[in-house]
Amino acid sequence: MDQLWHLAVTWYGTRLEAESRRPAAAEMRSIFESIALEGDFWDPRADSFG
Amino acid sequence: MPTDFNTSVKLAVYRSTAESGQTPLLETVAKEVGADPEAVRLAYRALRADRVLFLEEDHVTIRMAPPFSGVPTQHRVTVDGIEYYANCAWDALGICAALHRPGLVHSRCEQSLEPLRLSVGLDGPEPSSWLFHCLVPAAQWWDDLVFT
Repeated sequence: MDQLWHLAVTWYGTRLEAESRRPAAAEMRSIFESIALEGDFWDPRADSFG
Repeated sequence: MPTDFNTSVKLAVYRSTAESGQTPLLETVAKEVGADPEAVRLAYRALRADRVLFLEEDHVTIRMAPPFSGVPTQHRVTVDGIEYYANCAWDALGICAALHRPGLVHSRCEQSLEPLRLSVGLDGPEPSSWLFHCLVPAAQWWDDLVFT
């Protein structure tokens, strides 16, 4: 749940502000890696999921 | 269409949803931003391309303004007396994060179908042993966002 809260804040903490946007693919991967979500499953650019 | 206009439309959508718990009609957004509905429709298209909005097949009805859902779901979030629907468990916490307000989440365990009730403070949810199960790989989330 701590990981999920981190994702919620990172993804949506500024969503009601003008400059907010969805994280780009490289940013997404960095966010996931920061909370130990790694590998192809969490790679937004991966085309295989071993 | 100028980016500033798309931003105005985005803010109108999200602020209306935050204030009411329901995603607004296109006509309501057009009135709010003082523009023709066709201009708002084009802005919706751009916001969909940016993955900020997810639209129904009519391209004018908002199905998701993540973390908010435009339709009832199993994930209900109450904040300051307003009831919202979230698209998934991640988004249920995301509503509290977006509003910067504590809230109460009512959902269910998909394995046992047991009802779940989770209090969320400004610093996150109360301690629990629950797990979030993500079924779809990140690269495929928007292939079928409703399923994801």
